[in-house]
Amino acid sequence: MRAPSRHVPRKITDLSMTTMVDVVFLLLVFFVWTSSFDIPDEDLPGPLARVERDSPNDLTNGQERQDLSESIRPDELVVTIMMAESSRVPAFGFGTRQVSGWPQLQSELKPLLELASSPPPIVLSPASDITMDQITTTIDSLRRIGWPTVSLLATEP
Amino acid sequence: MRVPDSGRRIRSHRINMTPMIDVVMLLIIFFLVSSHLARREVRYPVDLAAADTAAMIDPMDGSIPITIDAERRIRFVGEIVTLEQLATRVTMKQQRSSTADPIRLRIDRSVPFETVQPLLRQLSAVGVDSISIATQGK
Repeated sequence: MRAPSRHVPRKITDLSMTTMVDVVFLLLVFFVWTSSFDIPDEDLPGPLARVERDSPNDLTNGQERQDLSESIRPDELVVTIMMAESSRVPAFGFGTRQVSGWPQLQSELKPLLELASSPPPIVLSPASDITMDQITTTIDSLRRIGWPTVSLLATEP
Repeated sequence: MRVPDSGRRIRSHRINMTPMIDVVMLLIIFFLVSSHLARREVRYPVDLAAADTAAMIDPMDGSIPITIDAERRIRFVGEIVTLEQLATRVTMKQQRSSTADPIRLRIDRSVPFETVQPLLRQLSAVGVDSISIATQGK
């Protein structure tokens, strides 16, 4: 007759939920700690068009504005943005030319990119009623067709 | 006469406090950490313009954020300032830093240039020669 075994190993089939929840919460805390809650901003870097002061007085004084001389180099292309009265599309001016809408400006500027080995720097001079959205769109569009840096004019045109 | 024990175990209705305290403590830590992070990342919400060609920001570049909200208030590191106060603070910040920290303009997309231009003039007057316009990725 076979003697029954005394030490039969018992299988533990039930999982301890408490330990598992502990670990899950620790992982959760770790991931929350190392992650970010909001979408990061992106940058459109660009120089400010240099302003040279002829007078040491405060620049905010309106009377001193006439004394300012902008040091825009002759090889720089000044592009003005203005709102046409009868249109919601901004108009652009450069040199003596004026075009309405971004596609026309693009077709006017593209030959400059093809002619010159390096494109002339662009200084953007928006009118006072042009919104930041329109300025950003213009800078973005110019960068997209080949102008890596677009300056923003810090004085009135 | 004693009633014989039927062999059934009486179920204990006492709650085991130790794992409950474990879980409660973890929950407290979780909410403390998440609220701390939410406070740290608070930025004044402005509706930024979108751009395709914008570059990702290096969070360690030490840039100085200047915000103009839709109500055209200027905020320097979260505090509403005038243009004159802004010039002073930017100058102080630049002097304190060994390298010229970049200026990041966070301007609401609806703000017209007539509000932005005095700010640019003031920055240019204190020697800032380049800026970054903050955008939201498309």
